[in-house]
Amino acid sequence: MRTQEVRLLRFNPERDAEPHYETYAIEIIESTTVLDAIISIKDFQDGTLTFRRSCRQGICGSCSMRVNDKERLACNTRVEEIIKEGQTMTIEPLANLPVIKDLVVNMQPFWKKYKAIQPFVIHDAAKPKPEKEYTVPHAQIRHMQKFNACIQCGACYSSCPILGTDDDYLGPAALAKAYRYAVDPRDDATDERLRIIGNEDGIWRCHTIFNCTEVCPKGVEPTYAIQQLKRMSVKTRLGGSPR
Amino acid sequence: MSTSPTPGGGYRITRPYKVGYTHIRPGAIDTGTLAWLLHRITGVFLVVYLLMHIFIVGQGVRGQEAFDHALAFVQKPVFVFLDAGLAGVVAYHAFNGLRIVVFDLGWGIRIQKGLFWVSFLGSVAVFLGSLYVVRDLLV
Amino acid sequence: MAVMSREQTRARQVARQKQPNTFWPWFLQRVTGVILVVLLAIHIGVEHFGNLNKPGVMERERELIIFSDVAYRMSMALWWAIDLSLLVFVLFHGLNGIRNIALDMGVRETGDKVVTAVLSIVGVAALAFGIAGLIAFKRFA
Repeated sequence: MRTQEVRLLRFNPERDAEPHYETYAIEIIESTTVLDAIISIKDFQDGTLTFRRSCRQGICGSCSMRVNDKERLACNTRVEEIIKEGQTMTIEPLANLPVIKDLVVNMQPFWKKYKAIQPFVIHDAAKPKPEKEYTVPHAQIRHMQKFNACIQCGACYSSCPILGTDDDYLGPAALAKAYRYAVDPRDDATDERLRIIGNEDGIWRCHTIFNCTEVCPKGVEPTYAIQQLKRMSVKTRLGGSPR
Repeated sequence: MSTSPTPGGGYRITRPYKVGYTHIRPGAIDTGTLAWLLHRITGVFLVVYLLMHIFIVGQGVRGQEAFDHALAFVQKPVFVFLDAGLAGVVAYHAFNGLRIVVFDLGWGIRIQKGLFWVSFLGSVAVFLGSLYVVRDLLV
Repeated sequence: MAVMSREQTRARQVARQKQPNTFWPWFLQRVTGVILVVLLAIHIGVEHFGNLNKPGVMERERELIIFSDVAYRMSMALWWAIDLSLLVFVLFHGLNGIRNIALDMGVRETGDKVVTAVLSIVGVAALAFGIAGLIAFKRFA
C-alpha cells in the first residue's frame, strides 16, 4: 500500500473556459489499475470526474486515454507497470479529438472516417454465385483476423502526429480496416477501396511513424496494413492487379 | 482550440484540444517518432541549404575571380567542419529514406527500430569519416 | 453484405479510371530519393572532398574547391549528365517534400494549388539559375 500522486486534465464546459490540471493523492497496491485509480478518485474525492468505462477487461475499448503521454486502456494498465518511484501519473483524454468533459472525447470524427472506408464486404452482382458457401483459405482468415481484432478504442488515432496537424487524414484504424476488406477474397470492390484511400487524405499521409503500432492494445499493427495498401496502390497504378 | 458558449455560461470545445506539441507526445517519443522528426528536420534544413548552395555555386556566372572569392570564404576551417556535418546530415536523411523505401516495398516492418539504429549509426559513421578525410584542413 | 447491380459495377469501373492523381508525387519522391543516394554520394565524394591529397592543393593555400576544377569537369559530358540530373532530381525531391509538409498541416484544394504553384516557380527559377551557373563554367573555362 503506497501513496501515488495523480494529475488529471479536468474540463467542465459549463464552468471552465479551458481544460486545466488538478492533482489528487490516492492509495494504491501492486494490482491497482489506472481505471481503479480514477474510479477511486471519483468515489472518494471528486464525484464530478467523468470518464468512459465498461467491460474493465480490455475488450470494449471505452477506457482508452493518455497516461504519461502514452495511449493506453485504463482497465488493463497497472499503475506500478508504468510509474517509477516517486513519479506523478498524468492522465489526459485522447488527443486529436474534441473534449466533451474531463476524460470523455467526441468520437464522431473517428466514426465518420471508419464509415467512409465502407467496412463491409461488397459483392459484384454480375459475378456467378458459388454452389455452396464462399470459401476462404484458413491462412487468409488468420491474416485478416489480426485486423478484425480492432476494438475501435481510438488509441492509434490519438497517437498519430499527422492527425495532430491534419484533421482530414483518415487515420490508422480506418485504414487498417480498409486493408482487411481489400484483401478479403469475398470482396469485389478492391478498386473502389483503393480509390477511397489512395489520396491525400488517405494512405499518402502516413509516414510510417509507427506510433499507432506501438500503442494498439490489441496488436493490430495499422502501419503494416497501410504499407500493404500502398503496395497494392503501386501495383494498380503501374498496370498490374492489386492482389 | 476553438470553443463555443454553453447555456451554463462556460465553453464547449469544438476542435481538438492541443497544448504545445502534444501531438508528438514529448513524454513518450518512440523510435519511430524520432526517426520521422529527424527526417523532417534534416529535410527542411537540406532544402534551405540546397537553395543557398545553388546560389553560391551560381556565382560562377560572374567569372573566375568572383567564384574563387566566394568559395574561399566558405572554406575556412569552421566551414570545412560544417561541411563534414552536412555530409552526416545528408547521410541520415538518405539512410532513413532508404529505410522508408524498404517499408514501402513491404519488408522490414517488424524490425523497424533496428533499421533506424542502423541508419542513425551509419550517418554518424559518415560524419566521423568525413571529419577524418578533411582532418588536415580543420586547423 | 452489400450486393451491387450492374449499373453500380459499371459506375465503379468508370470511377476507377478517374482516380485522383495523387499517386505520382508520392511515387516519384521515392524514385528520385533512391537515385539521389547514388548521385549525392558521387557529388559529395568527388566535388566536395575529392580534391584532398592531390598535388598542388595544399600549395594553393589549402583551398578545396576552385574554379578551374569545376570548369574542367564541365568540359566532360559525364559530369554534365550527373550535375544536370542532380539539379532536377534534388529540386523535385526537396520541394515536393516541402509540399508534403504543407499537406500534413491540412492544406488542401485551393491552398494546395497555391503551394504547388509557388514551389514550382521556386523550382524552375533555381533550376534555371543552376543551369546558367554550369554553363558559365564552360564559357569561362
